[in-house]
Amino acid sequence: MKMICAFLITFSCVLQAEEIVIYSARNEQLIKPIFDLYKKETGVDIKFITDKEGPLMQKLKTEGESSPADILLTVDAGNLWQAANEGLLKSIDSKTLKNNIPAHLRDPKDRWFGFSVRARTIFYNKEKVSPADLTTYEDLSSAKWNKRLCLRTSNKVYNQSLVAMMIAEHGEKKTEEIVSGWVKNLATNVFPDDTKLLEAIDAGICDVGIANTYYYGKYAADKAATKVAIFWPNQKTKGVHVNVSGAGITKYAKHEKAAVKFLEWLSSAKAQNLFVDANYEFPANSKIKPSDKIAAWGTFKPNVINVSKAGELQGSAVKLMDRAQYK
Amino acid sequence: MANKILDLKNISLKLENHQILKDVSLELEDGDIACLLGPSGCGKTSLLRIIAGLEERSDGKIILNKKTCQDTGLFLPPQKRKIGMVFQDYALFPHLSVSENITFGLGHLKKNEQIAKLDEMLELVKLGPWKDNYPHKLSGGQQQRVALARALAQSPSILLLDEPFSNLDTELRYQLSEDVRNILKQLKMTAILVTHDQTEAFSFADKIGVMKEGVIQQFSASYDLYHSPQTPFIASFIGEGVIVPGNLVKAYMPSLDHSINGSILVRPDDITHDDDSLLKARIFKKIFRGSHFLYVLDFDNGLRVLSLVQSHHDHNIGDLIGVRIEIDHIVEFTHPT
Amino acid sequence: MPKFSFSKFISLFVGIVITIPIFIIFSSFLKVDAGIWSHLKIYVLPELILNTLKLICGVGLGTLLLGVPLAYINSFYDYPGRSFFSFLAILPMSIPAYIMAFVYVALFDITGIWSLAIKDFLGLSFFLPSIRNLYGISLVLSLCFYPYVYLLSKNAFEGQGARALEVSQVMGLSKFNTLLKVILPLSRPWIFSGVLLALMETIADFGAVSIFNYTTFTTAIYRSWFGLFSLDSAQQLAAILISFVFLLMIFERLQEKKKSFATIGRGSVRPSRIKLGWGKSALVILGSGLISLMAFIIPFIMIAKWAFKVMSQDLDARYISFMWNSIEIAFLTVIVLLIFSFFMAYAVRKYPGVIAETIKNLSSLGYAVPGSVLAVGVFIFLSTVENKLTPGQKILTSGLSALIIGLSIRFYSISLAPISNAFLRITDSHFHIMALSSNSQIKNFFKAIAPMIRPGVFTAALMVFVEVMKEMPITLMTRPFGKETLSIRIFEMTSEGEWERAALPSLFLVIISLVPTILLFIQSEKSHGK
Repeated sequence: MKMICAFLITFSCVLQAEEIVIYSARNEQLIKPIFDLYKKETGVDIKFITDKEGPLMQKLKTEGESSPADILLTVDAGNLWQAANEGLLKSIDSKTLKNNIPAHLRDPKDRWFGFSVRARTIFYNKEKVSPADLTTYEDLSSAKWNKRLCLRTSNKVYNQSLVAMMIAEHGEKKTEEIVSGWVKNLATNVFPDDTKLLEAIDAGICDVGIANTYYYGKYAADKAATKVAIFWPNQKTKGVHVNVSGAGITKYAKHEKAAVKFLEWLSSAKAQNLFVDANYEFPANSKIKPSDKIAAWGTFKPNVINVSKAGELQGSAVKLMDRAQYK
Repeated sequence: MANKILDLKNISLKLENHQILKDVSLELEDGDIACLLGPSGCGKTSLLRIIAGLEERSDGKIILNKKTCQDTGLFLPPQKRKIGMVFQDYALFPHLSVSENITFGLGHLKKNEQIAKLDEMLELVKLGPWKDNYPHKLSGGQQQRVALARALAQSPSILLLDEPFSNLDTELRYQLSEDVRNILKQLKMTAILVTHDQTEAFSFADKIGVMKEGVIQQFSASYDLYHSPQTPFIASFIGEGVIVPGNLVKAYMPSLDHSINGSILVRPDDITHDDDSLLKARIFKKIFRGSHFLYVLDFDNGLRVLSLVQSHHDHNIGDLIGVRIEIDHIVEFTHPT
Repeated sequence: MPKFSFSKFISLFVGIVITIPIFIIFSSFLKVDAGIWSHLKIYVLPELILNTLKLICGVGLGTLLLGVPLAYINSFYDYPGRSFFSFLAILPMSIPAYIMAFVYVALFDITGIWSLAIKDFLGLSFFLPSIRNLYGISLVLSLCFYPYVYLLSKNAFEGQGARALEVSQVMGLSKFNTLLKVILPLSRPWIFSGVLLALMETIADFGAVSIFNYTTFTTAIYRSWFGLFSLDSAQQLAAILISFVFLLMIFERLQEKKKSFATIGRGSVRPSRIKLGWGKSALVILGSGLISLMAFIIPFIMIAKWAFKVMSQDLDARYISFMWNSIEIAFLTVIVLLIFSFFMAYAVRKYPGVIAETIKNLSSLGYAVPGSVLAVGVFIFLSTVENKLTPGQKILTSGLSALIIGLSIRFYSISLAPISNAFLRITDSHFHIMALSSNSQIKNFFKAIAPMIRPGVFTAALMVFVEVMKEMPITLMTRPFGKETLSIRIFEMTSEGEWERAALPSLFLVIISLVPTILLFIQSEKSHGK
């Protein structure tokens, strides 16, 4: 038994330079092709485990120094902020990353970087709504949308981030009024996921709703024709709410250099499209063009407030939504 | 001189501040069939379980067939004691056939020895034709015979029977208890039966131990129990009868010459009905017993006794009838209960 | 003179190992965040507690009404196709609750396939109401979980013996009164543990209720953890949930106290089944056919349909290893759990008392804890042990050990319930006979105990196998690198809402689960012939 252990330890030492270990909350089917490509290009083997964000962070925390993980890859800035806040990540000193990833899509202390961008925007039924009537997220709380709005459950972190960003912009009081207005305008119960919400808009159960762009990408790809159209709100004010999926180096990374190298590669032109296109997302590296399908949605002004605000204010956002009876 | 098979010395059992058994001692000789008789809760089943080794928390000494099974610091587990046991609920294994049930504990024997033993047992309990049946196909009496065969197959030095017949209807019960007694006598098997049924005890056992509140009050042959009970409890528990103040009886029975301080036992057969007798008693209650009536009689001085009267003497409640008091064995207790 | 007993020792050890993660969850009370609690108390809990109670009532009633009558009819009556229908009745167990929920939402949500089809067919100008409400989720969870009640009730009914029935019928009770006054009361521990399993799974469920957007206590648990980033508050909430289940167990135990549930009369003869006439047969077939249609056939067809749609894109050689890993993990967990629960059930049966009872109940609670919360507790426990035993080396978490232990903790109550119920059939006298015989303990086990508890063991094995195949949170958290299973495949697809792609691994999962289900079925039919 001891011998086998000893053997395994030496064996893993030999491999050490050649591998990176990633804990990922991004789905396997979205990351595996990237890892395969990286291995082909560099020979570096990437071992990974997928799980939900919460358990992954808890796992890292529990393992502490003995954690095998080098990189935590997760969805939503709120989670990345929380990981940094819990002291699970360390600062990365990389010029390449700083050059490639715009400042608002990364941690102010460089403990994590966003690698793909998704916008949480407004969708509407083309037959029932003229885009001219649409302006902002805030406006969806006005009386003219009474019984016309669809929302997804407030349990989803995407909505928590959206509301957190609104708190950052308007303060709690005004945000609570807006959210209460949304709740008042609901055409039907909140939906368990964005796809169901898009279906409801399509079927005419409601006229407008808020969803992530990549769900629309998948939804439109599955349907021959859809009445659902995309709208970019808040163009005259702060811009469309965006969020990231991103990654950071873990505090006790055993292969830090190799891991940083991988993240640098991930922000490069070669990897970015592969990383984001399959999921209908926007590249985080602003020099890279999105895929044609996504480009067809038109260009928009994103909200450039630092996405880490989403994490900072997420708790307040959740409590606010509870108070506003947003289920 | 016969062999001493079982020797219990000062067995006590205390559970959660409750004294179940108090210093019980008992000896059995080879071939003895004994019975522990008593109301429920008297500790008779506990004593049986202690002998079997199924109850580990008792104090005292047990010697079984010259082997010390229990003593201070010594406890022999049940399987080392060579004990056979038959239970009230038969405890047959539903998934095993009659043969498999009988040979259940014979794993230590060779195959052909097992078969020989099985045949012997089937012959003994007369269940040969049923040997491949499963227990649920058998009648209650047959099931209990399987249980007996299973216990005897192990060639135990003593057989313990825990209310083995109480699940059966009356007729089958006495038939089976007689059959079992014959089988045990044929094998010269030492046995202890636990029961609360006197008739069963009298017909089954050579010697009976009457138990109350964790103590064996008397251990003797059934005749002695009836005629020379050593405690008021036994007097009233065994057979019918009342314990009454001696002076009340003496008033009507001048032949009771010696001085009576305490109480005496009056059995129903001590009071006989005689229309010609000058001594009269009033019928308080009557119970029909087929061939007899059991009358409860009141005398003028407050004495109340039982009398067994042939059933053609059918009197009404409240009637005054002539009686004689003829007590052959005077059983006297100085401190009546 | 108390004696050292091997089985007591093992069961105490098992009880402690299984219960530690529960204690870890309770230890969260050392750090109470008053701010979060006052918020939860005002805005969140009142509604969610009410919702949870309503759901418990709904699913409790639903599983009783589906499981007990089906078990009763299939145990005591014969009708054309009985074998087939009693087989169909177990199958819904193999479909994960969240998949079942998704199928029903896909069909009957406002924009559901069938809802829209009916609307078009009838030319309605309004939308049909959505199934996403209390009744809908109660129905779906009842359809998922009634097999627990069905299986355990069937064990009870068939082991009850004909004598009790005969006696009650001789006493002039009608069949219905016999059911009410004899069969059901005698089967109470079985039925209760079946319903309790269903309720524990309901309480712990997050997937299915999320799809129905029905918020329960568990919603608050995850919302505190993922939304408010307070694992402590989440654990505290979970601890309250567990305490509730514990009280339920104690309550039932007090009710059952002093009753004996051993087989009445001569051994366990099963009553021969009464043949139903044509009219009644038709009714029974219609009824159980309808249940199976809703609980298995329709979901299965939908899963198969979606699976075929994505097959060309998703199916590859890796599925062989997914299946193999799933089977391997499920099989190992079954073995471990059968051994664990045997010793516990034996000890509780042999040395009854408050201590044994408490250890048994405490260790059964893992099933009521929302999966990810328990997964964290398990992980903290195992890595602490690992660090203490062999610092720096991952003897548990690098192999399958951690995973198997974790899954055993989760599904312990599922295997313990049928096995300890089976022990109720062995009387004290049976144990005395074994003790008095010169047989070795091992021989007594194989010759007497094992055959008598066999139906319970088979049921336990099947339920654990199928549950492990479906399990996600603990598998996700404690699996070694590269050990991907079918349920993890389902997780990958569903976590971003790609439900239809999740149908492919689900289909494999259902098909694999069929194998032990068929085995259980064959054994139960065979033993009936005896």
